[in-house]
Parts: sequence; structure tokens; C-alpha cells
Amino acid sequence: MMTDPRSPLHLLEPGALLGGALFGSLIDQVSRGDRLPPGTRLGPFRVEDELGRGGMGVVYRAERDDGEYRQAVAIKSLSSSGSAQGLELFRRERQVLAELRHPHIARLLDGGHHADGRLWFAMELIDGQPIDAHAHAAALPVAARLALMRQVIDAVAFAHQRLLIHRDIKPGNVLVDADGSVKLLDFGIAALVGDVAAARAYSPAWASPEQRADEEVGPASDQFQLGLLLDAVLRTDAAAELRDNATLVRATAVIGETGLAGHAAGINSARTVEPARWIAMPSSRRAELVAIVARATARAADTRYGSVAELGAEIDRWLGLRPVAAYSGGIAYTTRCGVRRHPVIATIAATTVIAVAALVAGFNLRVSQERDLARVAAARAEREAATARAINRFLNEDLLAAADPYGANLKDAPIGDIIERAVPRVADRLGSQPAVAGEVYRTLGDMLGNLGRTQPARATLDRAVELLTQAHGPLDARVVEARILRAGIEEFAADYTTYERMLGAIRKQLDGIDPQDRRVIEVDRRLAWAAFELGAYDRAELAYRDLLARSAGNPVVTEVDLATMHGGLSLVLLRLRRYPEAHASAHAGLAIRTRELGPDDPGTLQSQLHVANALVGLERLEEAIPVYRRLVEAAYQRFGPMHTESVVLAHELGAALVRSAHPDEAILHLERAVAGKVEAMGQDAGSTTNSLAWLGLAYVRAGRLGDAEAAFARARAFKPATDFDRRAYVSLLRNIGELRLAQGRPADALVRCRQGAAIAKADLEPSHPLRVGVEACIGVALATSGHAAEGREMLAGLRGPLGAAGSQTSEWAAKAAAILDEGRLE
Amino acid sequence: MGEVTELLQLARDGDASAWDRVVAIIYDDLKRIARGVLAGSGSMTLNPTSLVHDCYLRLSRGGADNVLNREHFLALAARAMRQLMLNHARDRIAAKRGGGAAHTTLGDVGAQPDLEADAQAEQLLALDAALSQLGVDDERLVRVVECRIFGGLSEEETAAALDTSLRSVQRLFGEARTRLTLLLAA
Repeated sequence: MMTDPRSPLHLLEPGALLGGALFGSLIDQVSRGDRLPPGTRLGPFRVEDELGRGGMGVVYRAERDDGEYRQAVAIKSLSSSGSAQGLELFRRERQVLAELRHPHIARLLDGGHHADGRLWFAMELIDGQPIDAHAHAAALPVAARLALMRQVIDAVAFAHQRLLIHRDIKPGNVLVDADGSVKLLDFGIAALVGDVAAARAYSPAWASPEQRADEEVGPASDQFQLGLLLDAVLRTDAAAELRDNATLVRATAVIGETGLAGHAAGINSARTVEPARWIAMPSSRRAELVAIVARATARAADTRYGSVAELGAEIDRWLGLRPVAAYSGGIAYTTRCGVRRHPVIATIAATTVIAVAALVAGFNLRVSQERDLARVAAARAEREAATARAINRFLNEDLLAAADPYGANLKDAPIGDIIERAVPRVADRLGSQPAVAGEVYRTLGDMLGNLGRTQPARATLDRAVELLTQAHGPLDARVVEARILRAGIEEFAADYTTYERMLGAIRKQLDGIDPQDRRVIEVDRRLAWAAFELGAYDRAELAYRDLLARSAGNPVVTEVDLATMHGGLSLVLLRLRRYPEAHASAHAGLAIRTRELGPDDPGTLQSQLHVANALVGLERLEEAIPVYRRLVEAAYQRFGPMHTESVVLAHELGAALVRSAHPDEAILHLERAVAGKVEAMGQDAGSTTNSLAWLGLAYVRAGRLGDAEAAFARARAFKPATDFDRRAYVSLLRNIGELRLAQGRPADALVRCRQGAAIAKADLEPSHPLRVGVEACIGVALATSGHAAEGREMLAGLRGPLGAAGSQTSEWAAKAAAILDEGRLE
Repeated sequence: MGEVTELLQLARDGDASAWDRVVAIIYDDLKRIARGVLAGSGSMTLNPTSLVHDCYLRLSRGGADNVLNREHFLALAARAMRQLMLNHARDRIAAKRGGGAAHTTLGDVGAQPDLEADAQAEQLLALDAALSQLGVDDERLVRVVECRIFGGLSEEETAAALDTSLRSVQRLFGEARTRLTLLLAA
């Protein structure tokens, strides 16, 4: 039924009202309604003319007009009124922002709100160009562009130290003035105007993943935006395609926003980093920069640099031609870049193909073994064919279909999701064949475990154990293997108590079996390692020695297994500080691996590490350091710098360099170690804290006290749980103590070291270098803070242990000796 | 956003000033969304229904969903849209009668004569008066019209928003149309 368009009834037609002119007029009014006429007074300012408008509001040129002095300012009048909390926040924060004085931050001069609650801000009027447009227009070389970025990063880091987050860093907010100096606009304003969703809506293309997800936004979000800005500044085209209108460029430059027309050109979606569009530079240098940008713009906030200041330091390293932390030069890195465009799909495709290939290979092996056994049984061949069909259907329809980037709607699901979805399908496909289903569960559970999906891995492996036990009986090697995998999930989850308990249960089941049996040895080897992980070194030593005795001449134990046992024993002995024996065991392992695997095998490299660690224990640092250097280099080439192997080695090399008084080189390696450990284990892991403690110490020894402070600050939230954690914590406290002493704050040093000494006293024997070190720190702090006699007495008592503890405490021995000498002279 | 929750409760208890404030807040939110949409992509046509949905999402993130579910919110938002459009229509008509000179000096492009919008504004005032009369007899008919016309909701969404069946919505809308025709002809 059609109605006359002139009749009110016409409005009842679908879409007539909301698609009509009146609604358009309403939206039009809504989006431009808040105009301030020239001459409007805002506080001491008089509005002159409009400079531009954007998603956030309108910006006017205004003049201070209070008879005192004349000053041109930019006034940003926000289009939405703040909530009650917003206004309160604004009152509190305005002062903070007004006091944010930095040469590269445009100052907030004043602010207030209109009668209807809308906020306005007056800030320095900056006459400049967006940073990317400036770099392009001036045809700046790479180094000059990065020097500009350094200014931006400095400004952001400065604000972060004052707990202010920008939230809206983009070229329009980063201007370069006539003197070539950077000015960052709008600091803190995004935070004042309300919720995250609102802040996000203003500059969708530049939003960080956490802004897009409406999550808590912190300094890492600014870092992400700095990464995008870096990419924009390095491009040849300077987003010229978006700014072909010169006057628009000017206007948006001054108002600090990309105007409507800029957005209209279609930058609504997320920007991607595109190194292909960067200006020319040598490829190796480019690769390093790509790595830096990739790190700063990592999707997961906790895998970016620890702070914006670190990003700055990295750029300094690049400018100074020093190696950058983010760059691996290895395959891992290249792959990461290659998949940048379609990261998820590429990952799924690659990982799934590898995982499934392994699965298929495993089945082919199993099927062919069964075929051998069943050569005469036709019925069995038939079942085999059915099995193969079922497995194929499972792989093709349940697993691979989900991973097919073109075929399925699951293309954004990570591989772990795909496997998790496939698990329930196993029963449908293979329910009638528990042995085969058990194998599939075992493989999928193992994959889930490797992907860190511990909960589904537990359930899947439990099911595998159940079915395999049903099919083969509890003592079958396949069942034992599945149970070991199941226990391994607890090892992965760092629950070594449960790990050991589960292994113990398996071992109990095997009790009646020959101790030289392969299954028994497999379980015992893991039990020995569990004891090591639990810090039960005496028990671990006995277990390894027993294993080695049973393995000598045992045909089921390979040479390589033997080497693993030697290596484990050497680690145990190292912890027991029995260095000569540790060195001997490490050497035994190294000899076997070099012979069996060749000099470049990862296993051989690991044995070399054991040897080097023992050498450090023996105070043969000058022998250990070259070994570490070779190992670090090999690991970087082989695995890339973020691999656990590389990270552990970088730490060991760094620590050895600190102990042999080469703090500057140590810093390079320890920074990499910290970055890698943060990525692999998180900021608050004991191992990360340990590396941070050493990194901080290296800074202290290199005289970079500010950097040391920052490194220690990153470990602030650390809560020690295990014995290892507690040692790392003592080390951290002692090193903070050393920093405080270097800062001339002995009283603060005393507090930290006493905390550390209390833990050390409970955990460690009196001669342990860590305990000696932390106690020496107390002595020195006392002696230099007006308790000379008490301090000297303490240091005199520590003289023997200090001497015995070697290079770990040599710094302290020297300090103690100096103080004691001084005492004699008085 | 806790404020919205409280106001909605008051509004449902029949507090008229609370309702005005809900409308003001929703209007503010629509403005922000509209700006976001406009700033984000000038080429994208505004979709009023998605505005309402977005608005709900934002409010519900703020905790308003403790009191009302999405469907009930949509009915409320439709009602708020009716109010907003009516206010705008009145503003337009008042501006036209007062003469556009003041706007012109400010260079306000948005206030340029738009005959079609002015015509729709007049129509809307007439329709609204008829709706108010209709509401005296049967509030349910008005609700259906609000959801369909002002909220941009589909028949199914309207049914969900008003806790009724699809067939009832179709029947009520037909009845509303017939009675509005009569009222407007009178």
C-alpha cells in the first residue's frame, strides 16, 4: 500500500522516517551543532575562528584576553559532555597536565566546561606539520627521521613516568614546528573525555589491540601507537594519498586531528605496518628496524618492550650501529615478517600442517607395524583399512577443514582451538576402536600440551591413558608413554610436586619389572629431573648416579640417553656447588654428544653449556666466556634470539661478563635475556627476575644508575614461590642494595639487604656466595651510615667466606677490604 | 553509567523528569556514536538501527543490563528516538518561523533551508499528535509504532522488545495504521 508522500501516514512506511531528510538533518545538527561563535569568552580566552574539526570536537584559534598579555592559543571544545566522573577526573587531572612541562609536549594552559558540561581545553598553539608529512616534505634521511621519533618517545616516556597515558598518538597529534622540533599534542585528553570506547572511536586506525578490545589501556598501548607512528614516519609517501588537499593538511595539523575528509579517504580500519613502503636503506639495517617496529607493535601487550624508554634505547642502539635486542636475523624473524599480512591464517596453516604431518606419520608407522603382525589375518587387514578411513575422515573433515583458511569460518581460530574442537569428534569417528582412538587422543593431547593448553591437554591425555590401558593393559609401553606425557603436563605447568607424584604412581605400577627395563629407566630419568626441579638435589644426585649405574652396558639405553643423564647430574652437582665433579660429568656428557651427534647439534651445544657453567663455578671465567660467546652465536643462528635456548645462554654469558668486570658487554646480553624471558615466561617469573637482577647489577657496575633503577623496578611485582624464586629474590635485593650504596643511600640499602639476608639465612648455608654477598652488603651499608664499628665487625667476620666465594662476591670483598683498611688507619 | 541504570528504574516507575534525563543521556550517546561513525568513515551511510544497537552495547557495558535486557532497552531507545526526532522537528519549525538569518551569519550550513526536512518535520508533528491520541486508547499500539518507525526495529525485533508474538506485532501495527489514518483524516 503506497501512501501520499505529503501525508503524515507516509512516515509509517518502513525506513521513510529514519532514511529521510529529517533524520539526516538531526544527525547533521548532532555532528556540527556545538559551534562557538567568534567572540565567545571561555575563561580568559576569546574565541577567534575555527581551525578545524574532527571526531572529538572543534578546535578554535583564540586569544588570551584578560588585559594582562596577549597570547594566541588553540582551544579544543569537545563535542560530548563529560560524565560526572569525567568532570571530577578533569578537575584533578587538569593540574597534573598543566604541570607536564617537557620541551616536546605542547602545554595545556587552561581548561573548563561549558554550561552544558562539555569540556574545553586551551593549549599552546603549535604552527607545524604532522611528523610524517614533515619527514616526507623535507625528504629527511632515515637517521633524521629516527631522531625526530626519539624526541616523541622521550616526551611519551617522560609522561609515563608521571603516570600519564596519551592514548591517541598519531601523526596529527605529533607536529614538527618551524625549528624542526617535535611537539606532542593532546596529552591526557583522551583519558579525560571518558571511557575507553569513546577514546577508541576517535582514531580507529591508530588504536592498539587492547583499545580495540576495550581492555585496560596502559603505557604499552602508547608504545603500540609509537610503533605505528615509526612506520608512518619511515614511509616514502607520508600518507600523502590521504592529504592531497593542502589546506586540509594545514588545518588538521593545527588542530591535532585528522579531519573528516582524512577519515573519509578510508582509514577506518586498523593500520598495518608496511616496511615495503619505507624509504631506502641498507637491507640489514632495515631488517633491524622492522624487528623494532614488530616488537613495539606486537599484538600481545606483554611481548612489546618493557617500557617506552626501552624502545627509545633500542632506537639509540640502532642509531649507534649497535645490535638491537629485537632483531634475530634468523628464520623465526623472517617468518614473522612474512606472515604479518595474514598472521593467523599463516600460523594455522603452518602449524597444523606440521602437526598433522606428524600425526599421519605416526599412524602410518603404527599401521605398518600392525600390518607386519597381521600379515596372515585378512580380517585384520579389513579392520586396518577401516581404521585408515576413519583416521582420514577425522583428519580431513574434523581437523584440516577447520584449518583451511578458505574453506571454513574458523579461519580466525588459533590451532589450539581447532584441536580442542576436534577432540570431541574422536569418539564419533573412532569410537569402535579404542586402541586407535587412544593413540589419537595421545597425539592431540600432546599437541595441546605443547600449545600450553594445559586443561584440555589433561582431559585428552587422561582419556588416552584410559583407552590405551583398556586396549593393551597397564604395563604396555604405549600406556606408560601416554602416562608420562600426562605427567609432563604438570611439569609444563611448573607443578613439580604433582609431576613427581604422578611419575611415582607410574613407577609403582612398574615395581615388579626389571630395573634395567627401558620403561623403568624412562620413568626414573624423569623422576630424577623432577627431584632437581623441586630443589631436592641430594635425592636427584642419588637418582642420577643410580640410573648411570643401571645404564652402563644396558642395551636399551642409548649413548645419547647416557649423555642426558650425565648432563642432569652435572646440573645437580652445580647446584650443590661441587664444581669439579660437575665439570667432570658435564665433560662426560659433552664427549658422548660430540661423538654421537656432531659438534653443532643442539644437544651438544647444551653439553657445552653445562661445561661452561661448571667452569664458571670453578672461577675459570676466562675459559667459560668464549664458550658462552660461541654458544650464544650458534643459538641465535639456529633458533633466533627469542628462543629459550638463546635466552638462557644470553643470561649465562651476561652473568659471567658481569662477574669478570665487563658490565657494558654484559648489558647487551642481559637485555636480550630479559626480553626473551619476559616473552617466554612473563614479567614476574623467577627466571625473568633473576635476569633482571643481573641486568640491574650490570647497569650499576657500568655506572648507569638510572637504567639500573628502571630494571629493578620491573621486578617490583615479583612474588617468590619456589626455592629458585627465593634465590632470585635474594639476588635482586642484594643488587638493589648495591645500587642504593652507589646512590649514596646506605640506609635504604640496609633495608633491602636485611630483607634479602633474612631469606638467605633461612635457605642457604653460611658460605653460600649469595648469602655472603647480601651480608657483605649489610656490612658495607652499616659502615657507611654511621655504624662504623658494627659494620666493620660484620665485614671482618665475612672476610674468609668472601675470599672463598670468588668472583660472585669479589666486588664485595674489595669494598670490605677497603673499609677494614680505613678502620686500621683511623 | 550506574546513573543510567537508576534513571531507567525511576522512569519505569513513572518519574517523568527521570525519563527526560534518560533521553538526554541517550541523545548524548547517540551524538558520540554518530560522530564516531562520521569521523570514522565519511562514506558510510548512517544506519539508525545500528546506532540504537551500539548505544545499547555501550550502556550495557556500563552496567545498565542489570536492570533491563537488550530487548527492553531497544523499546526504550525507540521511545527516546521518538522524543529526539520530535524535539528536532519542533526546533526546525521554530527556526523556520523565526527566520534563518541568525544562522546564516554564523555560516551554519546545517541550518540551510531544507524543504524536504521541513516538510517531514510538519508531518512528524501531526503524526505524533495522532499517536498521543491513540495512546489514550491503547498504549500497545503506540509501542509497536515506536519500535518499528523510530527504533528501526524489524517485526521480529519488535516482538522480542515488547515480549509478544510476531503475529501480534503484525496485527497491532496494522490496527495502528488504520486508526492513525482515521485520526489524521478527522
